[in-house]
Amino acid sequence: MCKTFGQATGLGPDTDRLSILNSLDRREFMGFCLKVAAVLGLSASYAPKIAEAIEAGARKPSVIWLHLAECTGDSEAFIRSTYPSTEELILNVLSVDYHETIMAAAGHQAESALEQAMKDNRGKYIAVCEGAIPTGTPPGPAGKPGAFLTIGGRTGIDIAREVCENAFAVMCVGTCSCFGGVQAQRPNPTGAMGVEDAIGVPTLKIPGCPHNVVNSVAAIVNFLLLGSLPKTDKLGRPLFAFGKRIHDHCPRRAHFDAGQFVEKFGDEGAKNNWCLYKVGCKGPQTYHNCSLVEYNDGTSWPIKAGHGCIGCSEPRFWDNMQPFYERLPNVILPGVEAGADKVGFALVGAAAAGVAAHAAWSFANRKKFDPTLALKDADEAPAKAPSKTAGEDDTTE
Amino acid sequence: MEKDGFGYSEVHLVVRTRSVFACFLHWMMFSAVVTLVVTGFYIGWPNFYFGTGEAYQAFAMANMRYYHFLAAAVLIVFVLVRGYLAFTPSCNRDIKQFVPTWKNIVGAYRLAIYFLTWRGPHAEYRFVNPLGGLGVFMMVVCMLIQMVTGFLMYLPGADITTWWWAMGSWLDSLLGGQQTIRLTHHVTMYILTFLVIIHVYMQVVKSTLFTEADIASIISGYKIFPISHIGHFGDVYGMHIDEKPPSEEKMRMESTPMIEAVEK
Repeated sequence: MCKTFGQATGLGPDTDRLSILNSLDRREFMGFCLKVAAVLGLSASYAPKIAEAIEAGARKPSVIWLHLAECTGDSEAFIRSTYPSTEELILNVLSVDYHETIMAAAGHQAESALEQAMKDNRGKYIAVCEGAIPTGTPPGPAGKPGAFLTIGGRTGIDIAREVCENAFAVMCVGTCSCFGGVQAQRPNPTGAMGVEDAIGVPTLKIPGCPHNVVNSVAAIVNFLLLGSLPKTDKLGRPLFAFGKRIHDHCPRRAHFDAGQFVEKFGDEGAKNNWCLYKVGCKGPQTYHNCSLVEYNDGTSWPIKAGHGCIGCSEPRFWDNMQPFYERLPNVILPGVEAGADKVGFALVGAAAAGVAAHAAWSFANRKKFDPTLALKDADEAPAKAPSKTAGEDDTTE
Repeated sequence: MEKDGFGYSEVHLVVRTRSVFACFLHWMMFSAVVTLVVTGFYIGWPNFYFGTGEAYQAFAMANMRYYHFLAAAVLIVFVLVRGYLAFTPSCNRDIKQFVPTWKNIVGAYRLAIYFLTWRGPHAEYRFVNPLGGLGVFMMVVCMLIQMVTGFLMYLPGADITTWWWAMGSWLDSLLGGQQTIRLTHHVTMYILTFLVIIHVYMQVVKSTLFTEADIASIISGYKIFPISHIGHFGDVYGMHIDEKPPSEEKMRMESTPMIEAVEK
């Protein structure tokens, strides 16, 4: 039997505060702290500080988890956390006061739980948003803006505004709450948007479909450790997770540089784990750390499983990254939607055809063509030149 | 008509259009663009050249990317140098011919009508005609787009603590993400190819149907005009064909240093 962390460090009988440590053995717990340090880009010497920060029960932040227009995939991802395990994460690392999927309360009881949680920790809790916010107005007499998402008689946008405006910080998990996700794909009938776009409150974004729980836990640990949210890029994604593209750290990158590609699924290249670039992998376009931390406690992730990345952590990926099995998206012009190469070849072909036609036409009319005559015209009557040219325009072409 | 020993019916003048160094720059930029298009096609859609053996034994894509980046560096340097030379006597301060001022746009429109109909008066230009200048301006705009988008695809691989990484990241999200940048880079290549086809064709036309020797001028730096054309150029005195030509005395005074007579 391993000693618990509390026993090993002799931190005394304050078991209430250290309950998380008593349920994890020390090796596991320090492993988790090291992993978080790695995700945050800190050196291993930070692991004890991370352990301290997690121990400090007094700073255990209250969390209100909102479900908006979503599929609960990010809650599913969240409760797949292993280090710390789900119950520790929900009860000890954080104090998740409101989470529709995992709480026991329902109906009016749930509504009052939300109100109570907001009242108790006003300005101090972390609001976690999952899912996009529809802002469009449904047709019909009952339609009001945002009514596509109505919970307990209130629109999603109202609830999100009230909860997020009174929060210390807002963290968006999953692409839907960050950038709109599949609901915001063209033509977007419900007017779905990311939380920040819909209510104008700056948010920390952990996109992904679903998000990687290592990243959300690391963001929370950053908050516990430093009392502030992690450094982000312009879109609000934390740099420790979204600073590099998948391609930059891809385990198949060697095959990309070697020029060894999967031509179609199931061929020799696929069996040899070659690069998935030619079957539409969006790794080179996607900022995420999947290639480093993988999913489900480091079990696997799409490229490891032999399928290209679809770019799920990028804004508007359903529009931009389609078609998923082609490298480039389609060019969309008024009345035209075609592959970029098709449009390009049409353009270059038009130039070649125009050039050939002009050459043939010039050759056929070579007797009419006399540059010296034209020059003399210009020389004799320079003032009339513009009107003459304009007249020629209509009659000859 | 009576012809001299060179096959000309009247005295022709050799007119200097740009320095030999500017000609050299043109062909360096040409080689760079061709390299970029060829290697860029491979990077966009790898074909005909694959690594064999284990991954560490082959560098097919890495080589192509290497030559792409090398040619990009050459192009960037030489476009910048040529941009600087456009303000110097080396290229007769021909920046005026490239910037799409209203005068140049009108001149380009008239020339386009002339080349499409082969009728009506047209101005003759000593350095760069406004239609060609507009085409080159569009090409330079395309090249600048390629440089920016190219660097934005290259920078995310850099060290995350550097300012250029931060700049790349900021511009990246401003311009709509890597995928949009990639698509822009790809489509702009086709637009550039389109413009190059027109550019080359127009030079062929002007070297065959006219006596200006445009293609020769980008190799040697000199064009040839009949003496009667001198003083009627649309660009040499900064005037348009509609305006009155300057007095013969002024013309001779201003043009003498730039024009060398062919020996009869």
